[in-house]
This record gives sequence, structure tokens and C-alpha cells, in this order.
Amino acid sequence: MLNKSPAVELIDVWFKYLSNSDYVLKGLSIVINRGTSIAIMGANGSGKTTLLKHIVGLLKPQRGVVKVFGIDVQVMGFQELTKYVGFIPQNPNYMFFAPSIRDELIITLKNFKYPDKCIKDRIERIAESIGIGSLLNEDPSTLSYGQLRLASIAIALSHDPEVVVIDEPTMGLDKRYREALARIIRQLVESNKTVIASSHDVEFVSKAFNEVAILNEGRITAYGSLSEVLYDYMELVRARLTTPTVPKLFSELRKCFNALNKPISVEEFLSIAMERLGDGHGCCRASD
Amino acid sequence: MAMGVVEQAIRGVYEGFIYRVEEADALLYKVDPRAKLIYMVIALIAISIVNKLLGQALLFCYIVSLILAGYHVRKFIEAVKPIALTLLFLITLLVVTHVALLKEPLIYSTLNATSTALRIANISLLLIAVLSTSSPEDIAQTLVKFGTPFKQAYLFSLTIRFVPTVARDILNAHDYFKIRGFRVKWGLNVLEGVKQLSYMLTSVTKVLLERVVNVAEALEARCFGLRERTFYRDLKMCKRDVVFIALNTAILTVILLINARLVP
Repeated sequence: MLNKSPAVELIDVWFKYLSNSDYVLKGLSIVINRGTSIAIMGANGSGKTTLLKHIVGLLKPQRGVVKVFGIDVQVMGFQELTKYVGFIPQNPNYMFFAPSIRDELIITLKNFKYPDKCIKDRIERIAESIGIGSLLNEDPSTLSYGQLRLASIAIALSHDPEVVVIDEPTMGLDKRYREALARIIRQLVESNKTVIASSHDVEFVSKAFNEVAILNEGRITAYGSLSEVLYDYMELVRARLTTPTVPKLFSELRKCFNALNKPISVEEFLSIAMERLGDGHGCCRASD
Repeated sequence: MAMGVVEQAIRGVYEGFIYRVEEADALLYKVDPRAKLIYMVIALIAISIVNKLLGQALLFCYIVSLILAGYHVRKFIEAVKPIALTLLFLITLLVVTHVALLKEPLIYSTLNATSTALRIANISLLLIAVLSTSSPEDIAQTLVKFGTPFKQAYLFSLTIRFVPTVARDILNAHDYFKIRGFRVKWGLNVLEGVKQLSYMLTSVTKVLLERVVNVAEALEARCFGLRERTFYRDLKMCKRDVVFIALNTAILTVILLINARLVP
């Protein structure tokens, strides 16, 4: 039985950067349960990264409270918080300094006081689950952006945090790495970890996440399952987001399919379509 | 503690310089950059000549009032907060050093330390006030008008332009390292502190070198340096600028005279 207690809570959070005249977060509130994966979607400059930085403790709310596992982050302290929350930044270049990925992982694990005898095993396990086994002895400066991104994920997950925060997970990644990342996120959720990410990529979100929140003008304006939120076109338009193709197409053809499930990805759509065609319902008539 | 102060100081530089992008409706933004540069040189000479606490305090009050009169006040106060913390730390450090190493009386040490800290504050505030209220393009043109070859002048202005970028890079690297469990503590284990700091500096240096290559490539792609270029907006000095220099020079001279007549 998976625990569905709140992992992260943001209550009436207000935040403004010094160089901005307006608030970026304006009374934002959201509760994210343990064992869920949620994609925060919003237009450029809507405050997605600011929201994520509050969860990892890099920014402090000017008003409101951020709680991780029920404890106020300010009370918990940054050092304690890093044990529970792993962060994968947009630009992985800032993270690397050691001669190899293995050394990066060793140093991180030592920072989190992992016993020396367990470090080797832990590195092998994490490298295997992320799929970077062959990169462990490579110099980070020789790796491609996608490989660095996977390595940064391995570093963030190395100390086994309960909450994983990813800023723009698919930025600069090709199909192969996106699929690898989607698989990693699904695995994390299966092991009851909480994954929170900011993303614009509807296709990726539909494959990797089970919940979506729309961030618009500093507030969460929609939050729920993929089919609830991505079929809410008005909200997507208001948040200046691209309307996803499959929900749009499915809504148009709904009366032909008469299906209960709302598909998000092309694969789900095709599966429903094929099922209906197989049932002998055929395609829509012109009169429909 | 020390790392926290350094972080705050870098944050102050970042916040101080990032305002350059905003054209505020205030005196320091309107004065010709050449007038500001001349004033800055005179003020820097005054700061280095003044050798008494009261003299430095007068200079401090004068620079702060100039900034408050001609700068974006609210944002200036926000930017100065981290610098104030750094100054407090510096005063404490200097007092401890004087008392412990030079065996000086506490009052004498405190006065000396405050004077040194004020001198550093005066220089920092002056640089921020002058450089962050002129666009890099105008600074380049100012240097060219003063006879600096175009390439050098442009590279200097590029350096100013990248101050907030470098500060942001350092802060980003620092944030991401903190999340990975790095703690730069200077306590008893200084070597461990240096080691942890070197990790972060390696990463920052790498990112900065990449940035240098990117900027160089971007300049080459635009045939930088192949021929002399003109500027989009030609700087022109007006009466206001001359008055600005004259008035400020007069005030600085008065402060220098007061300093010279003070009891040592």
C-alpha cells in the first residue's frame, strides 16, 4: 500500500526578485502527495523555476510557508532538507568539477556521509538504473549535453532522496534520452518517490507524469490528472500554453469514439481508435 | 560564516550591477559618462588620500547622499544590505587581527578597522554608482573619446557587462553545490574548507572559460575588429555635466581640507 500523505506543501507563497517590480509567485498554494509525479506547466517567465527553487530551499518565501513532509523548510534547515530533496538544474554544467563521473558520485555520497564500504555498490546500482554504466569513468568535459544531463540525474539521486525536483527535464535532449528520462521518472514513482518537474513538453509529460499543474500569473490555476488538465483548453490558452494535439483531436472526434478514457499520447489515441474500429463501429460518417 | 558573507557580497554585486539594464529617471543615469568617469577618478584619489576615520566617514556620507539623490533609492538600499553585512564582518576581522596580532588597544583597533572598512565601502559604492548607471556601450565610447584604442575600450565595457553574469554563475554553482551536500566551513579544518571551495571554483572557472569562448566566437562572427566602428548614439557633454564635475570636485576638496586639519 503506497503512502499518499503530502510530500510537499506550498501554502500562500509570495515571492518577488529584487530586480523585478512585480511578484513572481502571488499567493501560490499546492499540495503534492507522496509517490506522485507532477509536471508544473506554464509559459516562459511564469515562475516555474522560482517555484522549484522554493521546494529545494534555494529561495525563501517572502510570505507563506513551504513544507516538506509536514515540516516547515525554514525550521528544517537547508542541510536537513538536502537529505530529502534532490535537485536537477536546467544547466548541468555547473555541477561537474571532478575528473570522472564516478568521482563526482563518490564525493557527493561522502558529503551525505555514506559509509565507505557501501559507496561502490551504491554507484554501481544508481549507474545501472539510470543507464550510465559505460560513462562512469568518463571525463565530464568530454560528454554530450544529454549524457551530462543523465549524469546530473545520477548525482541528484545518488543519496536516495524522497523528493526529486527536475527543472525543464527535456531541454536539449533527443528522443533516446527523453525516453530514458521518462523511464527513470516512472521507476521513481513506482518506488514511492515524489517527482516534481517543470516542463513545456506535453508529449513527454504524458509519458512520464501522472499529474499536471498549470502555473499562470504566479498562481496554480489548474491541478489534477493529465486528462483533467490537458483537456481544459480554456485554461491552457489563458496560461499561454500550446493546446496538445491528441486531446484536441480526440475532443473533435469524441462522438465517433464514445470512449470513457481520454487519451493524452498518440499511442493511447491509436489504441482507442483501433479498438473502436475493431468493434465494427467504423469511422465517422460524413453526417456525424 | 565566512562563506555566507562572501555569498552575500557576491549577491550584492549581482544585484547592484543588474540594475544597469534599467534606465531610471534619476540624476546619475542622465549625467554624461565622461563626467561620471572624471568624477570617479577624482573621488578615488580623495578616498586614497584621506587617512582619518572622520574623513572617510564624511566621504561615505557624501557618496551615499549622492547615490540617494541620483539613483534608484529603494533598489540601492536592497543592494547595499549584503555589502553592509560584509563590512560588519570585515570590521570584526580587522579588529580581531589588530588586537590579537598587533597587540593594539581595542578602541584604537576598532577605529582603524572602521576606517579601512569605510574606505572599502566608499570604493565599492562609487564603482557601483558610476559603472552601473552607464550602459557598457556608453562606457566604451567614453574610453574611446579619452583616446583608448577601440578594441581595448570595447573589451573593458564587455568586462563590465559580464560582471552580473559572472556573479550569477558563481551563485548558481554555489547553490547547486550546496544541494549536493557541500558545506564550506572554515572552522578548525581549514584544508577541508579549501578543498570544498576548490571544487566549486573549478566548476565556475570551467563555465566561465566556456563563456569566454562563446563571446569570442560571437564577436568573430560579427567581424569584430576588422574596421573601426561608430556608435549608435554620440555622447555630448552639456552644462549640467560641467556643473556636476565642478560641484563634486568642490565638495571633495572641502572634505580633503577638513581631513588635513583634523587632529591625528
